[in-house]
Amino acid sequence: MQAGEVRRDDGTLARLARGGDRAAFSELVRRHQDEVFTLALRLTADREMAADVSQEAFVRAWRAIGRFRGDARFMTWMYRITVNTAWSMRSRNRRLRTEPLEESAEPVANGISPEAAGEAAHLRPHLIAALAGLPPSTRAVVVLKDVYGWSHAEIAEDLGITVTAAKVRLHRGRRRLAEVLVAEGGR
Amino acid sequence: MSAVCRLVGSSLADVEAREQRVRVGGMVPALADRHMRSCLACQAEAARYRKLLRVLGSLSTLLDVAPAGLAARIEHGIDLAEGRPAAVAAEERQTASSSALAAAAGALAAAAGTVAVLAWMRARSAA
Repeated sequence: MQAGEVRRDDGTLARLARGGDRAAFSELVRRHQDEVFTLALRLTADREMAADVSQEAFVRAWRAIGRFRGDARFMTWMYRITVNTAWSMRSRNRRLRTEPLEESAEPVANGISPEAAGEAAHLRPHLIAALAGLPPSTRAVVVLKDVYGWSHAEIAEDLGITVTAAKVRLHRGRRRLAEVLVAEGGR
Repeated sequence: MSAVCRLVGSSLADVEAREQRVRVGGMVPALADRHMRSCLACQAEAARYRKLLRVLGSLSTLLDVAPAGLAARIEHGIDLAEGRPAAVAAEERQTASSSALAAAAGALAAAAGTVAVLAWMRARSAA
């Protein structure tokens, strides 16, 4: 963005994109690629796969932008597309790995208290590795519920499972992760 | 570990992030509360789950930076989805940015010309 240029909000850019303005959509891509990539990475635990998912999710979003009504935030809509994409790509090629994630870029803390940041900094690598070791279907439920705050109903709808199945997977996932906290001294 | 501890421990994994009270399936809530108040093992277990939820929640505030070139890959993917050959689309983008540059340069030249003419007119009227 040039100095002095007015920053347009997501809603405005999405409306322009709906009218076929590719430059407006490109601005949304530049603005939100990190958020989409982060969600994809949490879901897939694989940077390469996460990049593929992010690319495909934005392509799907561009194709479907005409159906974006604007009554939800653009990113809420984008997150749902990302989850659907990750899920369908997983089913398609089963390339999801389960070994611990090797991070090549340091995540950027975004509005977190110093106390929580300290606690998270200590436990986060272990927890991310433990998340990567969960079965993909369990990991997806834990990430969407406990990291992104989705409801069981939303998770069930987007993953194509029942609410009961979502609850069972969450229960299993949390128990497994709690064991990791014990092992890492996070009691 | 008592049977009650096992029951409580199992229910802790279902607790909601903002929930203060543990709902134990098959137990009267008041009994579960009383057990929680007196059982150190269950209190420690509850603290562990609260910490787990706190750390998981904190992941939502941490952004992983997308790999360099992802935005370009996305643009390329959209071009392909629209059935435009990548080279043509790239050329269009290049042309669009060149046109914008040329327009900006043109506007700058016109402004410079106007300034020059005004300066010449002022010098002439002064003479």
